[in-house]
Parts: sequence; structure tokens; C-alpha cells
Amino acid sequence: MVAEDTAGSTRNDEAVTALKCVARLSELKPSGQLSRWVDDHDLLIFEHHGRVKVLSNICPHLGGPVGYHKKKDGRFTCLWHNFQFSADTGQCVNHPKLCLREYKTEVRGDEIWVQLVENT
Amino acid sequence: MTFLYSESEREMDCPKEVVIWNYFDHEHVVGTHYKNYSKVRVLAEEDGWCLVDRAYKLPLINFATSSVGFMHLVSPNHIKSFQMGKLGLLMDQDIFFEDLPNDRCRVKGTYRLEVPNGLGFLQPLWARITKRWFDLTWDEDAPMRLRRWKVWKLGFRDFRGVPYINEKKAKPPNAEVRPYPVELPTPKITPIKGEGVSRLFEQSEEVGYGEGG
Repeated sequence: MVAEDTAGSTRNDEAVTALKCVARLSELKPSGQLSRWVDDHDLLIFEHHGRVKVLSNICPHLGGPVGYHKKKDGRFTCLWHNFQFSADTGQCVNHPKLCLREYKTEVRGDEIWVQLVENT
Repeated sequence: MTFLYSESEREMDCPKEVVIWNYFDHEHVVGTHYKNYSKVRVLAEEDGWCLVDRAYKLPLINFATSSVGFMHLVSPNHIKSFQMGKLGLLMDQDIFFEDLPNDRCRVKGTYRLEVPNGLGFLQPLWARITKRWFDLTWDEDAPMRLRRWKVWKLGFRDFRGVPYINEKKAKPPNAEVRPYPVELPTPKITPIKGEGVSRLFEQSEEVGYGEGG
């Protein structure tokens, strides 16, 4: 019985932590940057140094949209209060304690897959 | 003296407390409203009131100006503000809030400008400028308020973010939505109370809020 429960929760955990297709490269191509809500995660999807990266689009300051303006000089500037974040690391330039989560990302053909949940 | 007067009214799909936060969040004017506001500085503030110096450009007549404004939360349903601009004219503004069902609210703004006798003929221009200003700022503030309410319902904490996102965990099921508090003065980590804050740019290539706001 215990073994079954354990096996069951392992299968559930795997389902929860599975990667999810969130966008297509063809959608990203026009501006190299887009944002969208997927399962209550606001994802900032962008091309950076030839790679596809995904950061949280929610500014940890007061919740603004980090990717509202197009990335410039390797930085995003949140619309609401101008807090800036490094596209490399997600680190806030103005306040080092603030940082955007980076999502694990895979490109499979034309599809961009992201792991929304890593820890159970 | 005579008075120029106008009023505007709109509804929002969020509680009035979120709109009140938006009015007292002075730092956002050089961000959200970067096309019109160039600088803002909080000169003084205490529970429920603030004195703010703002530089901006008026719509329609494209007139760059600045004003010092006193803003006061008179009651949970009423903000009163007075603004004195470069021309030495006093404008007083009332913003009234009304709760609507389903976490919605109605907002009514009135603008009254005291001018010397003989300038009453400016009433139609005044009505057009203030209506345009109300609509322009409303259209930029509305997605901000809706998004603020949305992330709040997901558990957002100021200066921290959304816990389940940061911790890379699944969203907690059936999490209770916390009431939205009016906390004045709003907590700040910018130099707005010192030298003030300026916009970073007045033109930008906008990608937008994206799908879902």
C-alpha cells in the first residue's frame, strides 16, 4: 500500500514538474521578445546571444511587466517604476536583492518548452 | 474670480483600494506615464496625505509645465487634491470611489480651476484638456491596476514577488485572496523623497503587456 502511494505520488510529481510547451520560435522571431501568462506564470521569453531564455515577467518590486519595453543594452526596464534587470542573469541593476526567476528552457524543433514547477 | 469645471467617470475591474494605491504610487508617473511625465519628487508625506512636485506635458496644447500638489485621502471613498502650477492658478480635484459588485469600482474625477474674471470663455478648452488628460492617464493606469490586482490574488508580496514562482513550486490550491490594504505612505525604495526620480526615456520600442496583461 505504501509502495503504491509512493509510486503514485512520484507519477504525480513527474506530471507536475513536466516541461510545458509555451510558445513557438516562429512567434518569437518578429521582435525577439514576447510575454504571456501560462498557468499563472507570467513568462518573458526572449532571444539572447543566440539562445532562447525565459525569465519571470513579474517585477519583484511591485509586480510590473518587466518585458513591456524591448530589451536594450542587455537590460529590461520595467514599465511601472523603471527598475532594470540584466537579461543575462535576471538580477536587478538598481537593487541587488531583487532578482527574476529564470525558468529551465528547452527548444524542441519550433517549440519552446519550459519547466514551470521544479520543486514539489 | 471664476471657475472652470469638468468631470469624468469610468469603471474598473478591481477593488477601489487598488485604484487608491495607484493614485498614491507617485513613482509610477515617470514609468507608466513616461510619455507625459518627466520628473516627480515627494516633498513630504504622512499617513493619508502627500505633497508632490511633478513636471509634465499637458495634452492637446503640448505645454510643458510643473505643479506642486497636495493630495489627501479624505475617506476610504474620496481623495482631494490641490495643485498650484507655474501660472499661479489653483486647481482642486476630487476623486470619488464607489464599490461595485464582484470586486469592481466606479471612479469619478472632478477638476476645478480658479481663473480671473473674463477667462470664463476658456471653459470648453478646459473641459477638453481635462477630459483628454483623464482618459489618457486612465488608459495607461487601467492595465497597471488590473495587473496589480491579478498578481496580488496570486500571493504577490511587495519587494519579494510571488512565493510559489520564486520557490519554483506548484501554485497552492485554493489559496485565499487577501483583502487589499490601503497602506499610506506607500513603501518606497527609490530616491523619490530625496532628489526625486526622472524618466529614463521619452520614447521606446514597446512590446506591450503581452497575452493576459
